[in-house]
Amino acid sequence: MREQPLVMPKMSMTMEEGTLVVWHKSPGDEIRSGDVVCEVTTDKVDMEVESPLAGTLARIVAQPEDVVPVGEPIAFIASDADDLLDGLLDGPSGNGSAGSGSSGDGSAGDDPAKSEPATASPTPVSANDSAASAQGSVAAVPYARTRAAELGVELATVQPTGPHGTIRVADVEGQAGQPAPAVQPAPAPAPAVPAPAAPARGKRGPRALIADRMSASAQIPQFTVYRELNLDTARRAGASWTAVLTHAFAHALRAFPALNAVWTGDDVQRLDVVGVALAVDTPKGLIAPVLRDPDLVTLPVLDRQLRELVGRARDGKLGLADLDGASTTVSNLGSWQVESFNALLTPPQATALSLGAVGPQVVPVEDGIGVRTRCRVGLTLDHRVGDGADGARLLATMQQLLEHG
Amino acid sequence: MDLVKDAETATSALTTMWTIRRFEEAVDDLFARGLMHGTMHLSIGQEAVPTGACLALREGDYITSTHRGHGHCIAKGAQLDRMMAELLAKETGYCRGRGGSMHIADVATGNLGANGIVAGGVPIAAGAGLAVKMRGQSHAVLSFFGDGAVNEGAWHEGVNLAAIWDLPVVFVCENNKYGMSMSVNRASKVDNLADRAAAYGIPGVTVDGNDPQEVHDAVDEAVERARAGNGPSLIEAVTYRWKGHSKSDKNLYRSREEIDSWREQDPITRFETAVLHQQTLTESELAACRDAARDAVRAAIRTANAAPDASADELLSAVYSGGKQ
Repeated sequence: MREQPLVMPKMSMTMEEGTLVVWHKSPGDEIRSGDVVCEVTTDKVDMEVESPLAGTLARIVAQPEDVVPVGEPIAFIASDADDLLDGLLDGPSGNGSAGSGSSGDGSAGDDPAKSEPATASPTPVSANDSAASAQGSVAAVPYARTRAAELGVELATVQPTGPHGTIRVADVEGQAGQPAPAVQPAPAPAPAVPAPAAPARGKRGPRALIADRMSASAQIPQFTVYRELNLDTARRAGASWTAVLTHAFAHALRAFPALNAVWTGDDVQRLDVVGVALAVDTPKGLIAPVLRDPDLVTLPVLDRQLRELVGRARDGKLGLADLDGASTTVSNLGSWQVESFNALLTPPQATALSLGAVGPQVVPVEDGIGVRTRCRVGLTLDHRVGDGADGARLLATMQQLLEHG
Repeated sequence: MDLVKDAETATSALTTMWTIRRFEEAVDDLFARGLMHGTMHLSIGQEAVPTGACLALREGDYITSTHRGHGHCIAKGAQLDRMMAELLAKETGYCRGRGGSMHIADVATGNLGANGIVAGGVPIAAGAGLAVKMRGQSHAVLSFFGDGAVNEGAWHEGVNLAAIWDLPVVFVCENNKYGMSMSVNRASKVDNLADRAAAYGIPGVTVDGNDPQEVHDAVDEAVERARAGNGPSLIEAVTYRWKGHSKSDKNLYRSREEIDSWREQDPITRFETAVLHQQTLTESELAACRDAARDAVRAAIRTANAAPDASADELLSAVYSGGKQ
């Protein structure tokens, strides 16, 4: 019987780390292959982790809320089963950037003789950068490489702005335009005391995720246009106001394809699908599942889909596919009698719509004063994608759709 | 061919099933550890279908595979190290590390390729069958696909062409109950997918896909029919995939209890029990099959891992014929 590591599994193509949510087994518990031992949350949803082998849960090394990189142990299982990978991946050939997996914290079966490169020096750079000095291993889009060669720019000196630290064409050209590449500004006189080790592992609750998103949003040049929508003649067919307004909003987005878009970092990318995320207040925090093409179904169908989606969000039953592909997010605080509020964009979405309370309001009408059912909405736009008049036109279209179906 | 009573055949079938199982467990583990990129689809629980089916084939016969194709490859005789190298994006892989799990092809063993398109292999199989017929050969073509494929237009067209031209094709539907998350009962009105055969005027039969003998008997009969020039057949092998559709599946469309009940019907355990009961193999001979499969998979990982990484430097050679590097 040997202890074999149960690692933080990679559960989607983009997952790089996971947060432990809850253990379903305790040390000493018998485990069958395929049993659910714990749940982890990826960058998007909670997923169940199945044991790959039968045995006994020997010890747990990751506690709830711990953030663990993919491939690092979260527990050890005492098992007679063969570890198919035991000792096979420690060799020098390695797998480059993805690696570092089994060298965790002296997992059972590690050959001590081979462990020298693992913890050489606690440099504060991430493992990805450390070996990236050679031109070939710097991540860059192909045309950026070509441009770098043409302009005589050394890729390793270029500051990347693309996803996952990829160098984009603009980075190379920006560098070439500068007087001298010089040496990178040394990241402050290297602290004598090594930075706290293992920066990747820490406590990260749901607030941290929202903090990341909204801090990124705060960098976006965005503004909000407000408008009172008159709902007296809106067809409801028994649907909730959220459904009615989402339906009209999705129709309007389809009519203004320039706003049904995301900002990719250097340009607008229009989306074929009208993806409307709904901000849902759940016991575990804010989550925004996506309705796809809600304008293409009838209002009663949308109302049902919306209820079902919100229900699944509150029960923690969303899949990864439920969270992708939105160009906008709708938030509704009307049920708390909030009149209006300013919704921040969720990057890279181009718009966000806030819904205030729906109710009777005293308004000036043709021959005096009347009472109308109204709702104050706020449309937030990424100014890189659209201008104030674009937002105003979209809201005017929403009003027309609500009046005339 | 009696898989259970003939010692040599039983050893071969069991080793193949264990090899598929171990290969996919290793792949699952490699992905979980972040050492394998892209995505892949595992057929753990379905090993009896390719194993039983491919035992009815001989040299020169062809197969077409699916996105869930590791088992088909292995059962048709692919080299494990080249498969593993492909999955690890190594230069020594079947597609020089450029295709990954869903594009492994090995023309040398008659494997015309995995296919990322649902039902994509079906017209290819009809085409291979047409080639065999036009050359006057007696080879058979075995086309694997899932239950999701039978509602694709390409499936209808491929099966219909094979039927009207009496092509030597055997269509094997691995009905694992779900097309991604869509239950087969919601996607089709007929009780058995094999009933679809009637629409094309060909024989259709439903078998227990967790019993390699049943699969083998049905495929063997269909292959003989194909070789004799009597046209295609449809075989539905009812089985179950234990793992999710792909790597980001939360299993929201089925219950733990359902998965567990199918794990109880593990085709490998069932086959081992049957072989022991018939006293064809001893306990230690069963263990030898398991060990052989494990050692083969480990050797494949070792070889593949030591191979050079696929290089992006001359990707264009796979795009342009004889063009610039």
